[in-house]
Amino acid sequence: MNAERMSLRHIAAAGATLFVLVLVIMAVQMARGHDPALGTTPKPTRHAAVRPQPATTPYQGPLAPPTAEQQAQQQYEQQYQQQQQSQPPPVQSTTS
Amino acid sequence: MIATIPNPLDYGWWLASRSAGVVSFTAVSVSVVVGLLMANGLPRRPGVKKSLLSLHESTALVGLAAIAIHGAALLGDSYLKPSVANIVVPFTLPYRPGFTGLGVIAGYLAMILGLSFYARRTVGAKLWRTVHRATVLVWVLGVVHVLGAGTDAGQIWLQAILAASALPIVFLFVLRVLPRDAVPARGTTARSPS
Repeated sequence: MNAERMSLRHIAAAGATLFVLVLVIMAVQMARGHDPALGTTPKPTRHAAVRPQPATTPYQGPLAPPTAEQQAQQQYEQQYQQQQQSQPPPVQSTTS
Repeated sequence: MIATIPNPLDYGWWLASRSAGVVSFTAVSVSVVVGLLMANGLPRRPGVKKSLLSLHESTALVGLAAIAIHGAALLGDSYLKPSVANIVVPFTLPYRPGFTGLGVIAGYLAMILGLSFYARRTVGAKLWRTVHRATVLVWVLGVVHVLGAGTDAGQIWLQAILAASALPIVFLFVLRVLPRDAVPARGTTARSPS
C-alpha cells in the first residue's frame, strides 16, 4: 500500500511536470509567433484556420502614406491658399 | 504591414487545456501499454507484476485527472466560450462537434472503465475483466480526437507521441487477441492414433 502511494505520488509529480513543461513550450511558441493556430506566419494547415488571425493595424507613424481623407484635406487647403493669394488685399478704410 | 504577436497570458486557459490534453493522452497511453503487458504475461520476472500493477493504476488515475482538467480549463477559454453542457454533453461543442464529441465519449469511457477497478468485487471479477478489455477503445477514441480536433495535431512532437504510443499498443493488442495455442508447445503435437 505504501509502495502504491509512492508510485502514485511519483506519477502525479511526473504528470504535473509534463503539464508545466508543455504549457511553457506552447506559451513560448505563441509569444514568438509560432503557435499553430495563432502564429503570425502560420503554415497553411487545416488547423491554422481555426482561430481568428491577429488583428493587423496599418502603420500610423510619421512616415505613413496619407489616407484618402488626408489627401482630400490637403487638396482643399492648397486650393484655399491659392484663392487667398490670387485675390487682391482688402481696401483699408482711411477714416480717422 | 506589422502583425500583432499574440500574448500567451490572453490564452492561458486554452493553453492549459491543450497541455492537459497532452498529459492525459500520454498517461492513458502508458497505462494501456502496461495493462497490455500484464495481460500478455510480460515480463515474466517474478515480483515485477506488482510494480506494473501499481504503475498501471497510477498512470490511469493521473490520466483521469488530466482529462478532467482538459475539459474544465476550456470553460475559461475566451474564444470558444463553451457552457458546461458543451463540455459534458457529447457533440454539442460548436468547434468540430464530431471530433470533440468523440473526445467527450472517450473521457466518460475512461472514467467508467478505469474507476470500475474499485468496484470489481461488486460486479464480479470475470465481468469486470471482460469490460476492462474495452479500455483500449478509450485510447483509439483519444487518437481520433487528437488528430481531428487537436490544435497541435500538425506538430511533429505530438505526432511523435502518437507514434510512440501506437507502436507498442498495436503490437501488444494483436499479441493479446491472437490465439495462444496457434503455435503448439513442444511435445504436445497430436499423434495419429495407431
